Amino acid sequence: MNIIKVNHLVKEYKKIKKEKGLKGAVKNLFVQDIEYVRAVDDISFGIEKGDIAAYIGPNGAGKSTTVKMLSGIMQPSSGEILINGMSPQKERKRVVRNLGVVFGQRSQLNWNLRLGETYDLLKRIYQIDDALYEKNVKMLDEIFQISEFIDTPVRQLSLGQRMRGDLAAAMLHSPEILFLDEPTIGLDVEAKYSVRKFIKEINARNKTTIILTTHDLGDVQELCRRLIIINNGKIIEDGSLDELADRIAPYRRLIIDFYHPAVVRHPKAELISVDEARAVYKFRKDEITAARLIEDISRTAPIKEVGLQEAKIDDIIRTAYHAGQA
Amino acid sequence: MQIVKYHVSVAATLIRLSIQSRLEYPFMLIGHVLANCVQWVAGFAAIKFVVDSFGSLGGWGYESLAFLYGMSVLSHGLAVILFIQTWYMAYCVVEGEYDMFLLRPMGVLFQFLFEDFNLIGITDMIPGLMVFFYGCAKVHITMTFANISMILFALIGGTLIRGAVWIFCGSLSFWTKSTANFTDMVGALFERVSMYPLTIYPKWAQVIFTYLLPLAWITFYPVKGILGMEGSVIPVPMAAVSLGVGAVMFVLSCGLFRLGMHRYESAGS
Repeated sequence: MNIIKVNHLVKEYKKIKKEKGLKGAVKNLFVQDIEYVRAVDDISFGIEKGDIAAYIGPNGAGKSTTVKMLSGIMQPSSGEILINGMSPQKERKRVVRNLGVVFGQRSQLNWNLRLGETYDLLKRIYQIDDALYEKNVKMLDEIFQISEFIDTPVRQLSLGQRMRGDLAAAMLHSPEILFLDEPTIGLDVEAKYSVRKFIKEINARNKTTIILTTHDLGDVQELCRRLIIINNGKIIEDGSLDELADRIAPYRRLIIDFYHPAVVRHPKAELISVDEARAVYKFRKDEITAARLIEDISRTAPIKEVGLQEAKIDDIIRTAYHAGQA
Repeated sequence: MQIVKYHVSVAATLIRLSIQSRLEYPFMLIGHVLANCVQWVAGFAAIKFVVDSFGSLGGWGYESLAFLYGMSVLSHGLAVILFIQTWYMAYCVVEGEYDMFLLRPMGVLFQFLFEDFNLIGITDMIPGLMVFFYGCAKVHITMTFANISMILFALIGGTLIRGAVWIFCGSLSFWTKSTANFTDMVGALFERVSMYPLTIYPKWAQVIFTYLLPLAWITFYPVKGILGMEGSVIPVPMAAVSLGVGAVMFVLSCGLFRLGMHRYESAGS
C-alpha cells in the first residue's frame, strides 16, 4: 500500500520580468510582464510504507518545492497529495502529527538554549507521553549519542551536532514518515556517516518511510532502494539505482595485469587502453560476464591480477540529467 | 477542557523558553531599562511643560493627563511584551519563517504569538508604573474593586487593540510580499492618539479614531469613564466597551492572518 501518493502535482509560480534601470522600474509599476513558471510540472509517484526513496535532481529542479507541498507548507497549483490517505493541505494538523521534516539549511532548534529545551517543547506540542518520550530519547541516544551535547546551547554546537539534534527532534514523536531535505549538506565525513547510520537504523527499527533529497550520491548509493530523478519540474527517472545503471550505463570496466606485456583482444569487449602489462576492457554486462571474459583472456596470456569497476554513480546521474534535458 | 490545558501547557513552555533566551543576554535588559525610563519620563515632562504654560490640554488638566499618560505607557508595555514579534511578520513571510510552525500540529498564529514572549518589554512597564501611580495619586482615585476592575479592563482592551492593529498590518504582508511594514507609522499613531486627549484633534479625526480606526478606545474613552468625566450616552462603563472593542478587533485580525496564511508561499531554495 502506498503511504504517500502524488497525482499530477503542479506548482506554478508567477514570475514578473523586471526591466532594467529607473525607466524600467517606473514602467513596471503600470505594465507588468508576467510569466508563469512551472517549478513542479505534473508529477506522479507513490511511496510504499517502509521505503527509503531518494529524490534527486540539479539545483532548481523542483525538489524542495515538492517536499514543501508534501509536508503541507505550500499549496499546490493543482493535483493531489495523499499522506496516509489525507491531504496535508486540508488536514494539516492530522498529517503533520505523523510526519518528521528536516531541512538541512534550516533548524527548528532554539538557538540560545540548551538542546534539551527544544525537546521539552516538542514533547508538549506533540503531546508525547513520558514513557514514549523516554524510550525515544534512549533510542536516539544509542544511534546518535545525543546525551553528549543535550545540555549544550544550540549556538555552540558544531554543524554535525546541530544536524544530529535536528534529526533527533524530528523523531521524538515517532513519526511514520520522514522528509529529509539535504540532511548531509556541508557535513564532514564523520558526521555524514552518522547521519546515514541514523537513516538506516530508524528505517530498520521503526519501518519509517523516508524521502531524502540530496546532492550527495554517496547517500543515494548507500541508503536508497528507490531513486526518483526530477529535472525542470518533471520526473525523468523512477526506479532502483541498479535498474537505472543497467539502462543508461550498462558498462563495466575490467582491468587486467598480465605477467608480461601483451595485447589480447576479445570480440565482446572493447580494449580501451594498454599500458605495458596492464589492459583495460569495457564491456556490457548483458553481453558477457566478467568471469567468462577473464577465462577467455587467460587462455591467451597468463593473468596476475584483475580489477572490476562498475559504472560510477556520478556518471549515471549526469547522463540521466542530460537525457532529461534533451 | 483538554484543549485549553494543552494550549496553556505549550504557551507556558514557550514563555519560559523565551524568558530563558532573553536572560542569556542580561545587558540588553539593563540598556532597555535606562533607554525606556528616559524616553517616557522625558515625554511626560514635555506634557507637564505644555500644561504648565497653557493651563490645560484639550480641556484636560495636568492630573488627568498624568493618569492618561500612565495608562498609555502601561498598555504599550503590555503590548510590547506580548506582541513584539508581530513587528516582524513581513520578514517572516519573505524569509519563510512560518514553515516551522506549519510543520507542527498546532495553530500557526498561536505558536507565533507565544514563541517570542518579550521579557524586555518589562522595561517599558517600570516608567509606565511610575507615571501611572503618580497619576493615580494626583486624580485621587480610590482603589475600590470596581475601579481596579475598570483599570484592568481598560489595560487589557488597550493591549488587545494595539496587538490587533499590529497583527492586521503584519498580515497585509501576505499580500504585499514586501518587507516594508507599517509598524513605525502605526507606532507614532498609537502614541499621538493614546497619550493625549482626543479632544485636541479636529472633529473629523475624532470620528475616525472613535469608529473607523478605534484607537481612542486604547486609553481616551476608558480613562474618561474611570475618572467620571462627563456622562456618556451608553449605560455600559467605557472600560468594558474598550475591552469589547479590543476583543472584536483581535478576533478580526486573527481572521485576516488565517486568510493570509493560505497565500503563504514559504521561501526559495
